[in-house]
Amino acid sequence: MLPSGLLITRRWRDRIKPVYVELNQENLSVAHLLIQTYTDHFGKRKFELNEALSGLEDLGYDYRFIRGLSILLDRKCLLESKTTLDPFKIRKHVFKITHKHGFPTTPKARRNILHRSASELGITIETLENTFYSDLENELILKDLEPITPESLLRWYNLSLTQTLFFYSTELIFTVTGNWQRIFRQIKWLGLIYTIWKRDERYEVKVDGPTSLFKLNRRYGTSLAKLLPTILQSQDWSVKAKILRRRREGRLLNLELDSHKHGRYLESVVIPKEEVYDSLIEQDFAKRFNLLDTGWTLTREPGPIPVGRHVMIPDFLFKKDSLKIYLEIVGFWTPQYLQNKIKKLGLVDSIDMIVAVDKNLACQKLERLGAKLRIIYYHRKVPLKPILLYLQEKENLLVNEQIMFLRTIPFSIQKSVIDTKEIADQLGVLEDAVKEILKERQIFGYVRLGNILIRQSKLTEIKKRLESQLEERELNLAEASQIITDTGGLNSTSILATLGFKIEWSGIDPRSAKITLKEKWKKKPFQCNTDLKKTKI
Amino acid sequence: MIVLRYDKGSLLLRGETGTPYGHWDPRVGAFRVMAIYYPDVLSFLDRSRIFYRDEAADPLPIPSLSCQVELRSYQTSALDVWFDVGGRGVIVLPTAAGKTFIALKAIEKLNVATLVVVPTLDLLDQWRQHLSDQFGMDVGIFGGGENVLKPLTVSTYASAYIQAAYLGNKFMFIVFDEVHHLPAPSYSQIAEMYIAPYRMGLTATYEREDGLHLDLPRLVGGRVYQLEVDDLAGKHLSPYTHEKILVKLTPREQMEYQREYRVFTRYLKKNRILLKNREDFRRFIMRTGRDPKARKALLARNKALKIVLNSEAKIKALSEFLSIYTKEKILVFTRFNQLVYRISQHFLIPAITYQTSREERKEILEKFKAGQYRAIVTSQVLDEGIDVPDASIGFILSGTGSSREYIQRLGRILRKRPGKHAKLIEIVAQETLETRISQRRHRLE
Repeated sequence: MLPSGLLITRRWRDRIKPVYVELNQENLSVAHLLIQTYTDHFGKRKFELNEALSGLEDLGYDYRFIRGLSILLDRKCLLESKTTLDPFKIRKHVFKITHKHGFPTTPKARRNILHRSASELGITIETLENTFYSDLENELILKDLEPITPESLLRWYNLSLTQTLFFYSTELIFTVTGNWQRIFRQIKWLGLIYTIWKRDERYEVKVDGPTSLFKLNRRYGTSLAKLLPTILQSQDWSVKAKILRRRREGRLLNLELDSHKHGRYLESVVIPKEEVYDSLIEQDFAKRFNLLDTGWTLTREPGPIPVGRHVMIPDFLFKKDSLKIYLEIVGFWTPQYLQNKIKKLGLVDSIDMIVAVDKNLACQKLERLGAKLRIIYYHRKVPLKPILLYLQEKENLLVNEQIMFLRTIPFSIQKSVIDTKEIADQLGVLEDAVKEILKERQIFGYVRLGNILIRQSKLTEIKKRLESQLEERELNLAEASQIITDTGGLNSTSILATLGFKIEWSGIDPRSAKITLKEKWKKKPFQCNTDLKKTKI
Repeated sequence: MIVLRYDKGSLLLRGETGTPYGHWDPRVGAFRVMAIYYPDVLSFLDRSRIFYRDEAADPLPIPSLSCQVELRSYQTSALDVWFDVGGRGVIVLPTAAGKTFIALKAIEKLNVATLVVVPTLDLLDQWRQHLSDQFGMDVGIFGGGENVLKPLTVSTYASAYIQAAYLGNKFMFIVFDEVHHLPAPSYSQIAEMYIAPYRMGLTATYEREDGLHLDLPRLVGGRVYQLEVDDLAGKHLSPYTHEKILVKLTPREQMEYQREYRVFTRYLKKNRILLKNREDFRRFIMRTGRDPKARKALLARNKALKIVLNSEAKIKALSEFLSIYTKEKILVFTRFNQLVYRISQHFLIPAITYQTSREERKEILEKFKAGQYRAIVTSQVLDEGIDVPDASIGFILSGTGSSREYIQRLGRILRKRPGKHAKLIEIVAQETLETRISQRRHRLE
């Protein structure tokens, strides 16, 4: 953030924007020159550095740019007193002696006082003069500069420029992908208020403060400026703000920035998607869960869920087909906290949540708090077993529900060959439910082979083709499979078995596996001989 | 049933009833009212016979207070008027007329948790001292790196502003010392975000050049009592004289001055710019951002001003005065720190600027009061408020054209002591732009 006098903006109509410096060769060399000036002054007084810097202000560049850069670099400086003596102590002594003699109005009188003071302090008169005000900032010695590249200095400058403009902001509207938790935590910490709504599948959040309600108010400008870097840490962001630049004009200007257009100008450490874990506990949990093949996908920080006027940002989302279950890992907690959570959950439909709480911080044993919230306890690491059980439980519940539902509807299938996954997708249910229902129901004209349903006429067609080929030559498994898939079939080996073909393996190469038709199946039309015979319906 | 809560600088009313000044806040689903209207909301609810629970005020419990302060007659009448109008309002008295004591008496009488808001760290220390001396209790401090809350607390304006959301419901009485700072756009929110029904403003200089003092009646209450320096000089304040000493720049300074100043005036002439008032000047400053020549002109003007304000001739004049006034306690005022340190090193006078550590500042002021130091040289930091009981000579080596600054600097030497005759000596470089600056500061006299 910079002094407001150094702010450079461009206005047109009702818009305002900070004037960013391009990261081109020219500006980079200016930044380089500035950094060089600092490092050249190691061991010299701040005063000399300042003189050199003000010399640079008149090189033809906007002095506000040059001064802005040096203000930022000042913050990276390590200054040190040039002496180990205590100047304050020396001054006190000199003033004491002066009080006895009266203020010196001649050089001689002054020298007398200094001489006496110096000898009483056991130092030379030169040392005394040199040390007298050596603790003033201008007299301090530049010891070191935290390393910075010209490129990152320019980006930092652009960011500071933006933040300085935000001092004049009355509200901010942003949308981001990811990073929600950090942002909302900071909003709360800064004492700001948010309003969230959905627009084009994205959440937009407006941030201002309690007293913004009464009148346009730049009180929260500083806080909004502090919030900005956190927003910029997201993968994608866009920010809109209202700026009240000159109070007397009373005109609100619009500032709009987004990561695609402006991200490259601004210094920000984007948190990579994979590294957004707040704690080792979370990271460890995600790692262990992803090693298992559960069929569930795990998403870190799935985004905000508006709940009434508030927002919940759970740590994780487990997702399988239509099932969504959230997980929040809580360090410190109180029963009140959980009660609030339940109350919030009560306000939204179809939200399931597991809350993992630290066993050692448990204030009170709470086992089950309503159907929508499952509490599990952890010690050092979040256990997988109760979570997997809960996910399984939820999945079974859903499968059963769906079986009941599927029993009430007829299905019609158009395709001649289809697998259960595709059927499930078409019906919007879980595959397991389809598998279950197919065990109890026969689809007219279709045969079920493992995970696929195939039309009887299709099977007959396949059989005919294979038979006619076999009459002409020998077939190996690879060739047979090719014929089956060309005809539109899937899962060749089970089709072959169903149609009465025999596979004689010699080795593991399908090209050397010989196909023959069992004697009793020859020239017979296809007949259903699968487990469908057992079905009740 | 309505529940009244304090929420970060405002009041939230849970319940179905709106009140005067209430705004429906859809973000939280409740009526929200500026904290300043706390007494109005309560009296509205009382008069309308609406049941409510007040959870907004959270003042710290305070023991029974008593102090030894004896008020002078004009101080008593000021306090009486202030009480008569309901414990709100601004009292305007010259520096050294004992405004602090009026406030102390009010604190004693009200006996409620009180916040005193002050502009500088020196005043912070001074009020802490007064409060703990008078009431014999620990005093809370916000500012200068401290954050301690007590039933009697002193805060800087900056801290009171930053901490408003947290401190706003902890006090029933606020004293705004040097209240002319309050109507600034940001600081006025201190008044708005605190619930304190009792409010007292103190100042010697009520008017602001930007006219924002017109907002004071809303923020603190109207001007309830006012006396000028001349109403009190002689009787309650020390009698004083004012001298203006004209000095000539050294020939070399004169030459440099002419050269630089001409760059400035030429630019103005060429571009037909007239700088008659602040607004003109502000516009000119803005121009320097776009026009490098304007900036060059401005830099030349600043350089010319520096030559004048830091002139060797002034040091010489001061030197002569120092050899005349060898017993009196002296304050030397300058506009820039650079000159402060030059004088401090030249005459070995203790210096106070914004760079001076709090510890050293305190040490210097204490020794000055105790008579162990006889002079202090300072830039603008001592303009306000600090008690320097018996300084009798003030030198203005340089300053701005603000009449407030002048009145305040004068105030620093006016505290009454038997037989004291105060002298304010202005040392001005003749035939330079400083003569006009000096004229401007006497405009309101």
